[in-house]
Amino acid sequence: MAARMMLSLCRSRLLTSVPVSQACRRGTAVAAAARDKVALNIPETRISTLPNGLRVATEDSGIPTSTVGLWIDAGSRFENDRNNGVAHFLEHMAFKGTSKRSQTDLELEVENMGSHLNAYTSREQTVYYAKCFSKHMEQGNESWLCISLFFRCKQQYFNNNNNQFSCCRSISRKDLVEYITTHYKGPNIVLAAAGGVNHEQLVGLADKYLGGLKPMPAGQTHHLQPCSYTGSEFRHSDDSMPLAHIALAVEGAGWENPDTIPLMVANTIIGIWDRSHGAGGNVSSNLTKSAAEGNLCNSFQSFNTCYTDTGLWGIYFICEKETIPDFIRSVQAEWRRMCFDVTDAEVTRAKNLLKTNMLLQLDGSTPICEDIGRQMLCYGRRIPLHELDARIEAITVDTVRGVCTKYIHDQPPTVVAIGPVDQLPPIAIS
Amino acid sequence: MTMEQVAEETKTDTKLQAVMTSIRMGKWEQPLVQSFKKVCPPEPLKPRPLPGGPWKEISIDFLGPLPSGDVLLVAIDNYSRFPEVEIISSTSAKTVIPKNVHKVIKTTDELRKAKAKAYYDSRKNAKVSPLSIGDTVLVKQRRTNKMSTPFDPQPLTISVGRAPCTVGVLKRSFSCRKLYTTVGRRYCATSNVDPNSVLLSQTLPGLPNAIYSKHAESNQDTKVTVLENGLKVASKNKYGRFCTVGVAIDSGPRYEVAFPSGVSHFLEKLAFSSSLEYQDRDRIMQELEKHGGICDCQISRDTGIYAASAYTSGLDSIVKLLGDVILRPNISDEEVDQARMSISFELEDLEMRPDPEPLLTEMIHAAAYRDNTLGLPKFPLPDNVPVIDRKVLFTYLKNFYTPSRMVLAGVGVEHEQLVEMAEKFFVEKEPVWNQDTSLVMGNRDMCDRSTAQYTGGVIQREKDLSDVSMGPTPIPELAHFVLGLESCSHKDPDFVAFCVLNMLMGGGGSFSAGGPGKGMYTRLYLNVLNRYHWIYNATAYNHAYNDSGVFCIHAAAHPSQLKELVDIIVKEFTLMAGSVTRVELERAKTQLQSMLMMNLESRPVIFEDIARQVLASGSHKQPQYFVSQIAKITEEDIHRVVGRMLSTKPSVVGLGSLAQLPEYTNIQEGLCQKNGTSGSSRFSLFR
Repeated sequence: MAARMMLSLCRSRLLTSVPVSQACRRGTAVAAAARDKVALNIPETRISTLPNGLRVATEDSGIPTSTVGLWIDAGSRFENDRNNGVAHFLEHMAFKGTSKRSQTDLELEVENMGSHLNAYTSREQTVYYAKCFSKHMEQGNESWLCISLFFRCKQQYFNNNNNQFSCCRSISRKDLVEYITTHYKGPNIVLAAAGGVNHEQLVGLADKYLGGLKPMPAGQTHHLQPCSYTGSEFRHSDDSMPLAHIALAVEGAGWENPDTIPLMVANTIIGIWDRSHGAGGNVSSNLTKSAAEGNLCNSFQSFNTCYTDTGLWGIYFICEKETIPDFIRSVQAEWRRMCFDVTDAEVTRAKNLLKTNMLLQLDGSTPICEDIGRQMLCYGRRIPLHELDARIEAITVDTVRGVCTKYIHDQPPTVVAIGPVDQLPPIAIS
Repeated sequence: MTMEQVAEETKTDTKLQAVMTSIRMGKWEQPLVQSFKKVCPPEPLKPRPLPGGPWKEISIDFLGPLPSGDVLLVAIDNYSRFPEVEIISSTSAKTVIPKNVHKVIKTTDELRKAKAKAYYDSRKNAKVSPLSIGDTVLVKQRRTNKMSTPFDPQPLTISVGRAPCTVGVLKRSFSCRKLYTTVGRRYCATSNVDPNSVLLSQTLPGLPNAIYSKHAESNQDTKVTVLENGLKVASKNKYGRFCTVGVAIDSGPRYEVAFPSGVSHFLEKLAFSSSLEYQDRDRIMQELEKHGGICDCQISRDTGIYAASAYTSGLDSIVKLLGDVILRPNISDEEVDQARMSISFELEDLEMRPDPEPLLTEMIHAAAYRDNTLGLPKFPLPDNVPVIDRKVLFTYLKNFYTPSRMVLAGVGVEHEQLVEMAEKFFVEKEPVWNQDTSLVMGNRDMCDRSTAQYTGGVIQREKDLSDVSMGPTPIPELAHFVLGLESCSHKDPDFVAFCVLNMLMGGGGSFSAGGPGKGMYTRLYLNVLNRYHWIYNATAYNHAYNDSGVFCIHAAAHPSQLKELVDIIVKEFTLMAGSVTRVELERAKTQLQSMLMMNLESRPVIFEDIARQVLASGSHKQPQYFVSQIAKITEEDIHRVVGRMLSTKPSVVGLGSLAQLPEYTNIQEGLCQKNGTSGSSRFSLFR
């Protein structure tokens, strides 16, 4: 009887065990699917690399307009004493026409199509981009790719226009050619596009117009002169100006550095304020409270600027000359608090706010295209939104305190002050 | 089982012994048995312990017999729970043993695992590592300070290698044969690390795969529903993670004739402050932050817009919040005080700002619609700031924030859901001024329903602008001049033609047009800025409202050249009536189309477009409609609208040192000259 009992027990367990284990497996499969996949409800960023190393990255949202641009890993940082100003010079030359068409032709063609061309240069990046109707993609690109054609046709162009350079004493044609040949290489360039763009079509266009750019010679990488942050003070005292403009910063983190995100959170906690916002503007920020209550400044704005291997993290403010010492003291106190006493609630709110700001700004083809181009240059990829989300989520109050202590506490500050700034005290950040 | 056996089994249990004795002695008593039942709880079911690994323990059993007479032979590995079932006709050893069920289950499982591994290797692009046991590598390290190197200087030797794609366990060694920097990086990425230490250029390990959407833009029409209280609900679906929802109200400074001017501006400042449901602004912000949202309130001359953008999942809370903020605000005295203070600062700033654009826009409206509707000031007069209080504000709200003057619009939302929410928070819940009538002054209808009367005229303001630069960059001293004429309302059939005319004139600053495409070949550039380099800027604007509009050109130059500047701008107005080349007309039309479509890329702009159109006309026309309307504009249309415009009285604004500003009548006469032929010569008489 006992044996029979055992058997029946065993059987019943067996009977249940099969479906249970199946259910279990199905359950885990569902859970795994939920964990393995997350719907983003945005188009994918597609990336292709041409044989010469040039990358093409697009996000196709199917709208009737689009933004296309070249993001180039070159800027004033790569200049030297001799060719200082080249990067900016090139930006202004971008729309001066090429050997194929004159400046007027180019401008008229762009204007008649309703496209917009734009160019800007920063310390590390040079950007040329165009906004146009998607239906003009091929035609529009032809004209804006003139910009890039101009890289190739530069030889003739410079010859034709050599006299134009005589006015700009220090920069010679040779400097420009040298600068372009060194920096405008396939792997240093990203062709980014957003809006109504067809990836295959754009890759085809890129191959047609930019395929001729030189790849990076084997073994050579984009050399970057190491940069050393020194910190220092620059004062331009001018009592005739009504208000003092002061910027205060410490060395921040570079693009790739994971500390960038906690620094951005810290930045968000300090926030932005303008006295027309009133005291009720952003009550979550302590600095706002002290600025509004004591009427210490007209406006302030915290900033976090990133470069390849370094960055600047700080605050820019405008105030009356009498309140400079008081406001500086508030800033110092707030920065010290960020290192040691920032609270959990503040960090949570700032994280939410940061996410919102980062995501909401990705609206319209131009901001998305800028995001793609910048990220491709800075990170070599586009950070998927859910990864950004996960990275921000992973930040805790300890991360923020730790990172702030590392970057702010006992670090040499950089101070720039313009206007009636005699009352600006010597600054040490502790 | 005999009694003796039972006695033997239960001899340790005293109670059972007692039962036994009582049975033996023939004294059977019920209660004893009952207590016997109580003391023996059922043995709890225990799960079988998990074996140490797969294939350590398997269970085999029969299941059946089935009605057909067959029996199932079931084997399961107790660790992986992988089952194998065979149908057999009998349970005899002869049929069971050749089935080798334990071997079958093992091979099937191995095959399955090999397949899974191949699949995941291909998905992750796994490659065979170039490393082998005994190689020396450098490992990426966390940056602890600014001096630390990217890699740990101490080389490591690989001592154990497991699967071909893993790096394996590392052991310290002092010999250094190979240095693999890239491998060091991969090592960093594959280990289970804190996300805060992974470089942003590397994928965070362990992330879920993303499902991206394809653009299947079906360009749906905007849906509009009118609720029974008159509130219009309009929405359009747009893909993306965010939605923008907001309310447009037919209210603004143009309706303030019965109130101290600036009420709307106060309301703009007080928007999203405390309300019945939310104690203070901070609560509102927290509610928004929960859904990744931001909010904004802008009150223009004739429309007030309260809007918020947030994750699509937060729609319900956002509509609730909007309903509460708009219909049930607290407007406490402290909040009004704060608004007073920040408005005073703002008025001060407005005067100091080097860019006089807001002041000029304000002045041209005052000149064009003298003392009525659109000409009423947007910014409160300094005297009005202390006058405006809680009661005034609530009275204004009661008169203008009525459902029939409102549109609730949403982009990226489901229409039915939005309507449902509107019913709940805009219809069922009463506005606070209906709940508590003591908040408002009297019951008189103070709603202004007058039509805008274009008057024309001059507004001049002498102001010293010789030192306006806020920073160290000097801004030259300028005199600003605006010349406007009546255009038409945005409901007028000529509206599109006026917009094309605006594009045709274009203009901007003399310093830079901002690159090709920003209107470098518009008339104000070609005829004015490129020709007269002393002109600082010249820009055309077309302000259109429900019942009227004003087309104007802003221009600025040094005060000593003001007369010449006016001369040139007047001439440009008369030249508009002259011939328009096909090329420049086509250019203006294309630019207007592209500007329209490019602006409508962004969700808040789509929202505003829907809200304003539905508020004005009760329906929403798709951008394609306007694109085709623009394409239809011809030279005759331009001539017609210019003729219409030139027959109205000019509105003139001067700001700065105005000694050189010509008389109003001169400007009026100048505008009457055909094609500007003698306009300039006539002017020269007065120089």
